[in-house]
Amino acid sequence: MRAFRNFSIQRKLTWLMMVIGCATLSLAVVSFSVYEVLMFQRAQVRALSTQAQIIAANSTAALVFGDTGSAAETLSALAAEPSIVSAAIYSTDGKLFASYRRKDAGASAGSVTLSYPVMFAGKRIATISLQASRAALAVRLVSYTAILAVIAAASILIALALSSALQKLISAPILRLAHVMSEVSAEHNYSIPAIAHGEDEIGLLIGHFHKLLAQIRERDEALRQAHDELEQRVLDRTSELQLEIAQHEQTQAHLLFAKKEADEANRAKSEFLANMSHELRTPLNAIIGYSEMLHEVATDRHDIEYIPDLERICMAGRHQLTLINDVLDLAKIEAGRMRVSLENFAVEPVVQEVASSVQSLALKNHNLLNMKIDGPLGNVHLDATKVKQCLWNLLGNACKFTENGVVTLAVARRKEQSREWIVFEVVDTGIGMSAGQMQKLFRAFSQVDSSSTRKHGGSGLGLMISRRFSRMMGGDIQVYSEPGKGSSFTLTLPVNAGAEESAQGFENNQPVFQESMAALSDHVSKSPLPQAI
Amino acid sequence: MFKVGRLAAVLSLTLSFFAAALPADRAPRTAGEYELKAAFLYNFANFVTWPSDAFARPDAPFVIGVVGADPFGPTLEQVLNGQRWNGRPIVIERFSRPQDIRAVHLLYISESEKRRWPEVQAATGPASVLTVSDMRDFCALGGMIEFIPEHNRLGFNMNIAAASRARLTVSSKLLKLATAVSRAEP
Repeated sequence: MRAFRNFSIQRKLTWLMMVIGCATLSLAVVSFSVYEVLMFQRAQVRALSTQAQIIAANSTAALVFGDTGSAAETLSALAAEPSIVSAAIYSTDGKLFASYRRKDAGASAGSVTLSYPVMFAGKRIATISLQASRAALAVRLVSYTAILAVIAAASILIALALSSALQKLISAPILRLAHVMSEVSAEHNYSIPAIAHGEDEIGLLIGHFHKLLAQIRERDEALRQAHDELEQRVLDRTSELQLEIAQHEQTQAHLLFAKKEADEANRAKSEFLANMSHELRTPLNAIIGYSEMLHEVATDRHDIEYIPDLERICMAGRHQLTLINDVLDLAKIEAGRMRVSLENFAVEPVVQEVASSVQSLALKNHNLLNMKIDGPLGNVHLDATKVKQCLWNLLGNACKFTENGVVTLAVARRKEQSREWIVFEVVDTGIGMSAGQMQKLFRAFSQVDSSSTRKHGGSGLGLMISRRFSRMMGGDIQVYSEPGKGSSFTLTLPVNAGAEESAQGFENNQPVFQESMAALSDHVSKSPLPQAI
Repeated sequence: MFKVGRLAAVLSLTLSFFAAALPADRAPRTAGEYELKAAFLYNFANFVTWPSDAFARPDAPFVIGVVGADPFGPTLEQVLNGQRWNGRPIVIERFSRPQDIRAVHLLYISESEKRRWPEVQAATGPASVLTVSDMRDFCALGGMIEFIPEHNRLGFNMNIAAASRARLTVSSKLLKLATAVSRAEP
């Protein structure tokens, strides 16, 4: 069947017709043969019974008069009928009265035996038995088969010729349609002329095919229109976008220009500041130097009345110098020119140096400077100048905003977040700050309020610079304060700056030294009695 | 049933009688000879056609007559008892002399009447009577059927001309069985 499926429709149709033809022919042949056999048998029986009837009629007299010779003679007349093999007449008590046997009768393919009664005066007086050979049937069947074979062969040939010719009625339109379809799909030509055909199923198929082609043409047209529209829209949008791009480019050019100008201005400012630092310090150094010199001269000459004024000049000059230094530092930081120069140094001498330099400031406001060093501090790899400056700023602020109190500096090495840190904590019992004040604390030129500038002095840049410095070294500064109780500033620096991690992780943490905060509370609650270092 | 069986027995005897293949001269002398001849009389009647005017009425009987010394005795009645001829009853009449002969269809003439044969012929006249006899040369004398003993069977000769004169039609089957058939007028 698989092979049949791949046959062309022409072969299929031919085959189909051939198969049908052969099937009907076979059926006809078989039925005809069966009918023939049956008819032959019936005819033979009829002929036999006719023969028997004649024999019976002709032998009645011989029987009733017991003339066996006459009966045998009657039977011998059967020689004229070649199919009869033997015949016999039996009396009613079963005795053989007369018989006949064909001389040339051989054993053949079966025989049929027929018995017939002999009647006389309404009574059965004997039985005739006739035996006929069926050889004639076999002979007849053989000749029939030969004839039928010839007819079948001729029929098959005619059927083949007819089916080859007739299958074109069905296959030709289909093949034509297939050919047209393949042309359509190969050449993408959907506007072929209509194929004419009748109104059968193939006509229906062709009709649908034409409808399909019409739909494809419509769709093509729609697609082409859509495509054209799309192209137009793309063109429109492209020009819009080009316009926008041009505008953006213009804006960008403006911005670039503005940035260039701004950079230029910034550079000019930085250059100006760098140049100015020298110009600003030179006259101040002269003022400070000469006022100190004059102070010494006045002290030597005991010109008491000039000494306070000279001291004021000297103080103001130094303050001015500090301010300028701070401003210049900030300018350097802002200009990105501030560099840290890392070196190995021992922490403790640096702490002692800063403490001793701050001592005078502490004493000025009647404060006690307290030092707590937790364990050996060892060496660190940091920028010593900047560490000093940070500590000085923190301690200076603590002394400035505390009167008759205690300023504590606690230093320790801590291991945290898989790094070693050096932690400086400056705790005072001064005026303290609110949360809002703490937020403003690290902004440039910001003190808690403007009135405090006048009272406490300072540029307001110290804390900011200190935080910048600490962050440049990979550390940070945190603050914790309560108004009226005091403040705690914690400077955390990595022992080995230059490693990548920063101390940002410490931000918003609780104070590192819980005991120092406890001490702070103690100082606040207890009497602010000075204690020895 | 007995009657039917009787005829069948006779017919069967007919066959077995000859099958016994008795000597020719001895056969007619056997006890069953007249039994067989009685059956033959009936059988002859069945192969002969009588003209329609031979019977006075549609239900008139078929009459078999025996003239002269009766050789059958009761055998004839025994064999033919209850038999019918073409639907007609069979009646047996016996006549001692030819003058006594009345209307019959079949007449057996005893050998005793050989000398009075012309009288018998005169008595039957032109009536359709089938004449049968054991007389030698019966057919030559103008009789119709003459029993003749053959070597192993009972045969008979026929005179078809005499039968035709009496307007009797004899079946060819019967003629075929006859040992000799004479067609010439005597």
